[in-house]
Amino acid sequence: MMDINYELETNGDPIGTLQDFFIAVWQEADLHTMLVPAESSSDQPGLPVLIDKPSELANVNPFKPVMSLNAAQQIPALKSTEQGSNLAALLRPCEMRALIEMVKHDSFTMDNLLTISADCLGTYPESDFFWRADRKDSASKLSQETLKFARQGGIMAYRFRSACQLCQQPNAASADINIGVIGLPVRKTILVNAKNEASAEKYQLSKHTSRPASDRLMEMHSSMLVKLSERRVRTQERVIQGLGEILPADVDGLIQQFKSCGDCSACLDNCPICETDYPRRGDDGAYVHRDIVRWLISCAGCGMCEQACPNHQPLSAIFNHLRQQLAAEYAYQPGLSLTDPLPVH
Amino acid sequence: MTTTELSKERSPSPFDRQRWRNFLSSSRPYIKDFFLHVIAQVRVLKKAYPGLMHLLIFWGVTIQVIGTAINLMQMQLFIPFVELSIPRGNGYLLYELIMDLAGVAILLGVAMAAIRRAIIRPKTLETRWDDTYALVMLALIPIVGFTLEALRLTAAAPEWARWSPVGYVLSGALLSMGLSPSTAAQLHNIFFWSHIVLVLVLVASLPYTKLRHLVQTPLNVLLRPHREDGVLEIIENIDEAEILGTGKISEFSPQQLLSFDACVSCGRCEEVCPAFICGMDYTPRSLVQTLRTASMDTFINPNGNGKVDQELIEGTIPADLPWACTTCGACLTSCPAFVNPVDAIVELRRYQTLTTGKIPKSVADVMRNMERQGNPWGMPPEDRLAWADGLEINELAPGDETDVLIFLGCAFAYDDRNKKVARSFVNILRRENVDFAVLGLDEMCCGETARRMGHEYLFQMFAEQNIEMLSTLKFKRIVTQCPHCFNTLKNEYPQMGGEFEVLHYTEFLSELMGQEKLIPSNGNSTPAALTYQDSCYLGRYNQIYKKPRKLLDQAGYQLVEMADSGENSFCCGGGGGQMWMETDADQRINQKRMQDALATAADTVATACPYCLLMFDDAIRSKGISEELQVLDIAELLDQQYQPAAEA
Repeated sequence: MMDINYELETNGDPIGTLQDFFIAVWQEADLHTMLVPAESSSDQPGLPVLIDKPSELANVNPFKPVMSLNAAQQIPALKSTEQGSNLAALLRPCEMRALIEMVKHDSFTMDNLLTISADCLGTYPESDFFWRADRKDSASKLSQETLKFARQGGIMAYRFRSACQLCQQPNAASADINIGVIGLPVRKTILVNAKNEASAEKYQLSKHTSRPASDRLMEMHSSMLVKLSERRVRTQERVIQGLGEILPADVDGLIQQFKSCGDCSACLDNCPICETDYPRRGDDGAYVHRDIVRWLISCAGCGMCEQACPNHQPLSAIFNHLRQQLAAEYAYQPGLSLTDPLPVH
Repeated sequence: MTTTELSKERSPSPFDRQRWRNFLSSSRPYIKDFFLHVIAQVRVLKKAYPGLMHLLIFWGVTIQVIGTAINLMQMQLFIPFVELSIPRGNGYLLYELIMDLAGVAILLGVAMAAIRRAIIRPKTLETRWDDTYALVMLALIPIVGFTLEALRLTAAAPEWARWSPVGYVLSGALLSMGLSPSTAAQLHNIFFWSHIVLVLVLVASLPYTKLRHLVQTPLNVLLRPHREDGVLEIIENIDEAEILGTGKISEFSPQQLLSFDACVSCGRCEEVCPAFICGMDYTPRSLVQTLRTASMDTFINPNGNGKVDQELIEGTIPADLPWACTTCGACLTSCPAFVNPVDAIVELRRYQTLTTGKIPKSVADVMRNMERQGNPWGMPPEDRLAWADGLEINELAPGDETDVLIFLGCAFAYDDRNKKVARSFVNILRRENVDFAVLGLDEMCCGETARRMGHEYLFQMFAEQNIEMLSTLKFKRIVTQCPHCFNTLKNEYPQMGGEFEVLHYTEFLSELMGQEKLIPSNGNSTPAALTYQDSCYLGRYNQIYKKPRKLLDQAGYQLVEMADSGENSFCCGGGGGQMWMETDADQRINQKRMQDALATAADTVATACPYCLLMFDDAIRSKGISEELQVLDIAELLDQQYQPAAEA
């Protein structure tokens, strides 16, 4: 019987410790390439980077508080160009959820793809990140500051993208390897979880971590997640209340709104789900009801739609609200597992 | 290490002098509090009518309790452990007299209280069932007691009855109504037991009524944190603290919970609260009472109403309520029970700012400004020296040395009106040949506003950076023009490891100018009279009241005081981050304070704080009365007087 939850001692340097851990995983999995969020990547710090040498992992930071693109959106293309090679992706929880849903919407598979996910402590709006980062040498300080408050699940929520403020599942789950930091004293210890015993065995987690996870640490992690989720449910209620008229009553209401909002489809173009399954329009030009349901029911809550919207509509809150309506109606939670089938076809 | 040294270390003698000295010096504030605020209750006495009322009841009851205890002793209840007898001879007569007077004192006090509640009815006094209950009980017990005494005197008719004057007069009345001594003896039994039952009911009801303050309030006075009022509690190891701020009642400290319980809802804080006076929904009294109710719902009656430890913000406290407070501290100095609503406000703000992120937009904007630009004005940090264009101020670099380091403060660096004040101050320093310098571009916001707005993390970052910078320089003292920077640098930076000698500029100039009156050198016509606005952080939080006034007096100004001044000064409305928040036009604190200034004969308001200056300036402008009233900083007023006469 193999454990699946482990502690990793960080000795004051959680990011450095994780980089070393990723190198170990790279070797165990005999990887060729890996899609990662990198610390200092030119003028597009919010874009994922493809690396092909483990030494480049020294530049990886899964907690970088900016996200210009849902990395899952790049994976179908990557899988076809990198066919046959061992590929890995280091994803945020919302990217991981999106990836799972994309697989269900399309015919591509997760074969030869190792997924690693880390708890997310929130991301700034792009413009805010650039402004902050522009101030002397503070780009890497921003990431460090974000990680500094992992114990409390992050601080100063008002600074983050509204999608992050509303996110009720900021924890890494359902990847092959999940890194837990929320609620933990990250300068001492973080959690590493394997999807199942087979993964734990395959990547030799017992060898590359410090020890099996103690109940206390697991409890700290889960109780902070509960708190965070409660808090964000309240934020969601508050935001929804504040939306008033703007909030469509249901999917049909949304389809009506799409007619009048400018109809630029930037939200769809930037949505990872649409990458694999773009909602079709009917003869009258309006989106097909069933397609919109199938799209929204898979919403991973990454908020790329809102970030792209030229009208600055509060799309995270609106889509999240509709997604929850559909979740209740179809008893379906997106992004949890590959085995739950999509309830709508 | 020798054996003797070792043994010394292991078992310090219990009679070690140093230990006793340490013990005594550390217990000094508690001893002082006990005598000043538990026994003498000087804060209760600050207000004449309720002060006298409480004094009569407190001492009446205290003497009655002691006297009754002496009485109980001679009932031989405690033999063989304690054997005491009631005083004999003259001692007994004195005892009887004092007990009678104490009973009268209680009745007088209760009568005053009843008149206050029924007839005077101060606006801030709320009468609940237990207020009435306490007064009825406190009246009944001495009334039954005096009747009991009269019956005893009627039955026994001792020759020393006159030493119990109230009982004696009553007994005379009873006799004249035809009561026989034998009936009196029978009635005596009934009254004796009624008296005892009433007292026991009162004692048993202590925890369920406002009378709990007999226990909770002295406890809170003694157990309150003995830090300066101007210092907020630091969040230690901020990145590992489990919670930031307080979202639920269970997250308050035990002492804070006790303090909510120590509040008797007397309304003194409400009477002086600028937010309440100006019509906002917030009052410190109702905040504390709300928190007390929440703690009862959570800890005492958890099965009652399903309100166990719910989220405070939006659960029991509206989200914008904590943002009405200016942290002026008027409630702190008025509270006889030493309840600290400002601490509770900051805890709630911390939770909103650091944890949930639900804060008013104007608050979020100013925090963004501070985070991004290092100052609440949101001006570029590279413009920090723009105020001093042409002045050629000495700007320090690491390793440099100066006598006086001026910590300028963001207001003086970025606000146009206050830039003039800073320049006036420089003129004075130059005239007095002071060796001074500034930090220049390396100066960050001191973090005061951030801290008062609940952004403890930002405060700690600013403090760390400033302390690090300051420690690379050599200087004797820091002088700052802003009372907010002053309080933070002087009282709060030590929490972050920065110990400096910090002076407000009024202290510094006062020292510099000595005692002599200085004849205005420029022949400027002095204003007819001026009034001085005490800054909360200079006055109430740091007890600097006289020095600014002395400076004005020395410079030949005639000072008239506003209705509330000194310790009772009314806030300008700009503190605690209020400067940056939007307020309803009819609830503006600065308008009210401007009216106070207009009510004096003064045509000028002197300030010693950049926020006071701006708040007055804003009030005067919005009413368009700059002909009638102007506002100037003391530095400007002094500079005016000392300007060399223009060459003829």
